[in-house]
Amino acid sequence: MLVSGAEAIVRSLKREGVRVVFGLPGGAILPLYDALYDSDIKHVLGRHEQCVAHMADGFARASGRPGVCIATSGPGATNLVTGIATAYMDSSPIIAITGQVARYMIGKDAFQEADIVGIVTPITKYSFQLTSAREIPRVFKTAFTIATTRRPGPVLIDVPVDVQREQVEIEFTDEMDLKGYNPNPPRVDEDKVKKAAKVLAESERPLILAGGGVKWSGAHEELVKLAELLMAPVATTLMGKGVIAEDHPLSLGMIGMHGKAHANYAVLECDTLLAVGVRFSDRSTGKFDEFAKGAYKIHVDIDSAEINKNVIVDLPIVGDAKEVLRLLIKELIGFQGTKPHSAWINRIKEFKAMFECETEGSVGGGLKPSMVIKTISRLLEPGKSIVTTGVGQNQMWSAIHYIAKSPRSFITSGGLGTMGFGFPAALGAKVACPDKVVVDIDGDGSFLMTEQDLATSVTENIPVIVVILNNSALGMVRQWQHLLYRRRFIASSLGGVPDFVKLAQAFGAEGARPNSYEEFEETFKQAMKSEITTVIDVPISQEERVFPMVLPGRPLSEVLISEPKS
Amino acid sequence: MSQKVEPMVIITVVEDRPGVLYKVSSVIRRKGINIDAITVAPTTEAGVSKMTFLVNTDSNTINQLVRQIEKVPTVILVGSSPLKNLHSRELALIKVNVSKPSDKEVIYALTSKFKAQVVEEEAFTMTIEIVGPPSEVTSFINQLKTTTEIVDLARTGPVVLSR
Ligand SMILES: Cc1ncc(C[n+]2csc(CCOP(=O)(O)OP(=O)(O)O)c2C)c(N)n1
Repeated sequence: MLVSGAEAIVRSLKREGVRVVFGLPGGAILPLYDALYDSDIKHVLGRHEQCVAHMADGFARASGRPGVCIATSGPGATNLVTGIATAYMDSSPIIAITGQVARYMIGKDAFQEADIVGIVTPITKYSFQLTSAREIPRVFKTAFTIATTRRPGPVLIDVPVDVQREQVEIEFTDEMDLKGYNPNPPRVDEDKVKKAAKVLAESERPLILAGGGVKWSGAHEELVKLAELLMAPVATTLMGKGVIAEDHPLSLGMIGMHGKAHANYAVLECDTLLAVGVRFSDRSTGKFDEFAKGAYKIHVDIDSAEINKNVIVDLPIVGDAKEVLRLLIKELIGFQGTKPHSAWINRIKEFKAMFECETEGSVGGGLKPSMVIKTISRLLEPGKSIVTTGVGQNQMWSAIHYIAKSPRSFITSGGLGTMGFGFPAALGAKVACPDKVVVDIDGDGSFLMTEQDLATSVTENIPVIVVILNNSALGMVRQWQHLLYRRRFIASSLGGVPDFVKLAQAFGAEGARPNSYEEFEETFKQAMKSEITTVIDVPISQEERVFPMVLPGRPLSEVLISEPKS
Repeated sequence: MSQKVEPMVIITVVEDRPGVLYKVSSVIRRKGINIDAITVAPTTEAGVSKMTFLVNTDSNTINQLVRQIEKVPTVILVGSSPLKNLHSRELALIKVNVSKPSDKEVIYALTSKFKAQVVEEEAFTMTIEIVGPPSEVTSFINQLKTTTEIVDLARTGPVVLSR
């Protein structure tokens, strides 16, 4: 049939099941917008391209389906970069569609020309530049397949404006365009699974470490089943938070720089570590060489490039987490001689009791962030709510104190640590899951980076709750300056500006500033019922610190429970 | 865990599309590794090229690199090997100055020893071609340097085939 390139893109999106896209138009992408005019794909107009990328990312992380964002050429495209890099680091499948100057202008430094494919090559799984409208069905099919299969990740498609206008005969196909990419998961080496099962069954102090790969693979049920079968405790990385309900008796919570102390201790003392869908980020492991030093390490991951990249393991199993865990369970069921782990479980309980109370210390005025987050945790219904975060102390307090009970219920920028991610990601998550209550627990500094999308939230009717843990500071920077730079605070105070209540109101959202826990709880309950976005500005002290903490570059054994006495 | 650093070759079979060299070389760059030589040439299959990279590194790093490169969707096949385990040949074109006639005799003696060819001979310059294992090309060039002045030099970098 004869269609324009733009119409072909819309059809391709529909064939992939896309019902909503996030974008901000400009000259070089207008033909596509004109085609969207005639379609039933919903368009959410962001107020900054960084935000439309984060929205697509939040959408993907909340739903497991690819998120689509659209920007114009030049500055539109370069504004997407932070969002694309954020998705890349956390393996989130987004498709970015960018306008480009007409084919004959490419390379001539035309108005609003940027070599976006060149710019994003290291931060995408793959990127395309179209040279003819005829390529559209294949390229889109290929792009969605690459983004969503194996280890997911962002894909960018750059479309010159004249390609969008070009009228061509098009056959829609499901054929793919790449010889070098196999979308099927790698074949699992069953001998290795057998070996792993035997080692696990015979171990005395097994520990499972679950990461984001468990979430993307949809292997959470298998994970819990395996843990229960082995009676093995489960710790998670930041990306894995929620893959096992954190109130499950075997759940230890997060490990790492700001992980739970008892989870870090479990890593130190385990004799067998089964790491599933993790990439051993330095924020999770501390000093690589010291990580789970004495333990026999089994690493399950779909990406063979992760094997022995940071931590050298004894038994790598390359494959899809769900499949490997299933095979492991099959092996272990009926396995005679699985050791009881009650002594090990009790030892971890001891750690837990030892450290639990000590992370509570409070200083200065204002509300305690841990208390605020625990209240949120109590009020939100499991399975019906999603929490996103900013970056900094707010993020780590959330990771420590928010009890995630289902996968995809905790969304945060782990790998890149992108301030400003929390709010637009919350909007994207809300679009994906309109029936859920979506809460962004944020820092004042982080929220200031993307707050303009309050306009999107109000005008597009995407109600979320923003809880700002407001310390009038770049809190985490202050914490490092305090602990590592002898309290020489520079460029980390924000001066208490702006007034977030008035700011919210200026955008037509609701704003509130509770001064007690009762007021906070009341406000939050109101916000949960509200049909418009509520910004809750919670004053906290600048002196609050995140503990436990493992100082950068140090091994997990050196976890600090509270401020070192100097 | 220190490993021996030596000349290593990464051989990739890739789809012949714009950007594929950029993508693969950017993976190598990200590991902070310098590329000593690259060759790119078509294969017997249409639309498929072979790219060979010569780098100096250890076997651990090379294994990491290969797995990273494997992930590039336009890379069909990738492998690696120490250079010394492969058949490798390199071509060099060398232009030298000849200030006195007796120099020419020395150069002719050298070229016949290394089975090199004189491509062009002028009054005061000669252009020589040599094909051989990279180490032999290097030692030919080193010997030339001791007798005469090299004005210009072009080396292809090794092309390799498994033994
Ligand atoms: C885009 C970006 N710029 C800078 C940083 C470095 N950084 C990490 S945490 C932090 C402070 C965050 O302040 P705020 O959002 O107020 O959160 P708090 O730590 O106070 O909870 C900064 C500046 C970053 N992570 N991201």
